[in-house]
Amino acid sequence: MGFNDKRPRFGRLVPLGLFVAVALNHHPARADNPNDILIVVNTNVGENQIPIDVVRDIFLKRVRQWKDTGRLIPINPKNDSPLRRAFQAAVLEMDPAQETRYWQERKMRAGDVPPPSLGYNFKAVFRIKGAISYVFRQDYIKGVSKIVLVIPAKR
Amino acid sequence: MAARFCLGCLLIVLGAAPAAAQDQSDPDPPLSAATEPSGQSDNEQPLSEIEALRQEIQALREENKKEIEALREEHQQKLDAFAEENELRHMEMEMELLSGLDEEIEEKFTIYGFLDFVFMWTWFREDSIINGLAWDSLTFALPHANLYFRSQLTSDLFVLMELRYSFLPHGNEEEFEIGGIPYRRTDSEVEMPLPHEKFRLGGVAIERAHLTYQPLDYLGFTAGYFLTPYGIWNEDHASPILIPIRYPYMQTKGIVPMAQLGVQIFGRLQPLKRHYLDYAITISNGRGPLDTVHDLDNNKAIGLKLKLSHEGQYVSAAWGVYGYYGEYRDRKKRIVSFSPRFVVEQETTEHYREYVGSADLLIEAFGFRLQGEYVRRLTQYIERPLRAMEYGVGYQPDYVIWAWYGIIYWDLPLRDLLGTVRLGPFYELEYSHSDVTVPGMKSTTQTWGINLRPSPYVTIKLEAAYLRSTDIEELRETNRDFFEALFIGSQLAVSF
Repeated sequence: MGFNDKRPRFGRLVPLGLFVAVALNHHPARADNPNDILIVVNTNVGENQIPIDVVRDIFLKRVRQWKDTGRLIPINPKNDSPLRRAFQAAVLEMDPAQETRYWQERKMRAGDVPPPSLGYNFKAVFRIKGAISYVFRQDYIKGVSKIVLVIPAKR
Repeated sequence: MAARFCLGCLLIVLGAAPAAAQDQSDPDPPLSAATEPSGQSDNEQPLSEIEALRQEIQALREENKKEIEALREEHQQKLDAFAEENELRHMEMEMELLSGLDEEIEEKFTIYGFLDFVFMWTWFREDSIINGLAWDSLTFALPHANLYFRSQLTSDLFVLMELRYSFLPHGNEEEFEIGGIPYRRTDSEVEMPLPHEKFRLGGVAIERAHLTYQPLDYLGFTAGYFLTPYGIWNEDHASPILIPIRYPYMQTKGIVPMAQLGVQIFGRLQPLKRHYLDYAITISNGRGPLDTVHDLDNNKAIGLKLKLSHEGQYVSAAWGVYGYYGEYRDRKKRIVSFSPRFVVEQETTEHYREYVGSADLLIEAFGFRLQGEYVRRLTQYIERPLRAMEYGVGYQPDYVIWAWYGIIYWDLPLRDLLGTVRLGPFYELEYSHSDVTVPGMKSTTQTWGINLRPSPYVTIKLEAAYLRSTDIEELRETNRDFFEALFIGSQLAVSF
């Protein structure tokens, strides 16, 4: 059996394979959920997109610098707020006790302190250069800051 | 609008009877043949006109509805835009009021710390060397009461000071009674004259005190007295974090200097996602009798740490090494002449070089924590001190000291039962060889214990440790020194 004999059969499989691949990869358009977490940065920050791993590193203070814009200032909302808990679960992969423990250990090992927790975290991002924080979609106000990542709400 | 009104009137006149029969609550009644009166075949022509008019009205109604919807939407958009603009203005005004926020965003000065409280009992084998050397009664103790003072000077500059408060030197044993020398122990009790109140003076030790400047992730500087960046235990440092109560031999013996006075250059690189390479270069006075006060030679100790780590969601691993080279020198001063000139000579009494290497491994996965460290030090003498040897007094030869330990801890999966409370057993195996030139200096320790963490701030530990000379049978048979001991203790460690 020569090469030419095989080609037509393979040729028929290609579109079928493509169709299956596209069908499997297809996600229906998803409506914005008011409980989506938007990771927002001050408008002076150069980055337009940040992967979730980097966001985790930023809020655990494993990285402390933006690539271009210098000092990175992560800001948390108040402890025990629904937003903080949603962020802990979705991004830090921790519960509140685990995060507290993490910072207790960091404090005693190397004197590291956790990012500040503010009731006006979203407003602080608007104000402070290099700041990064997060907000529920329903509380987001256009023009105040730049969205660099959307973490869909858990269904 | 006028046309719509006329058509509406016409509809009312022509279709009043059937329309009235319909439900009054329906604002847009469907216009269909079913609502027409029956048996009016003579009026087919006007009826068809009426039907045409009805259809026209229906079309106009639909058009009207669309226009209203469009107007509503437009109005809503205007309202939204207004609200957004208003919100922005409001926020800007608030931010003006919060001027200086960027200066105050991080806590400027913080005080925190930890303490641990121990209840323990130790048993020593009657004929072992350690029996009598250490206290063996059931006792409470407060080994650590450490306070941290941290001041954030700028966003990349901070000062950290950790002070350890202790009841010592009260109770410190200075001499055992031998021959004519009496037993001596420090007694720091004093009496205030006026209220005639007696109290004991304690002590304060500086665990670390340094300034750290880190302008970049990959480059930072520390100057002052800092913890040596080696291993796991030395960096974990605080009892609420540490798993066992007892310190491993490598720590108690200080095979690597636990803290150094000097400068450190450090940083972190991220070669891959979730992978980090930490480095640190240390330059310090090194080890010495006065190293925290003054270096007694010009030589400076140098060290290099490298640590590769992976921080995964379920699995974290870190592998580190630290190498250190330094020289120890002790000198004494002697007045050799008062006249005609005052002359003081300095004499080196002990001088050695030390080469230290350490390696550590930490794996955390699915609630398990596997931690191990290995340390080895070679001491090469230039000026040897006299030492009690096995067969009399002699000069201390060069020697190697080394030790390792491994801990396995399992954070039991009892979240459904205990919530945020964590409970886990552990086992530790430790081996040390404190001087390869002296027989019987090998020891093995096994520790079994449990950690209970009722909150992120509190750790309760229970453990039993069995320590013994590794070659105990051989040593006993040849009538040499050996030791065998059992330690049972509990600890309440709190961070605050």
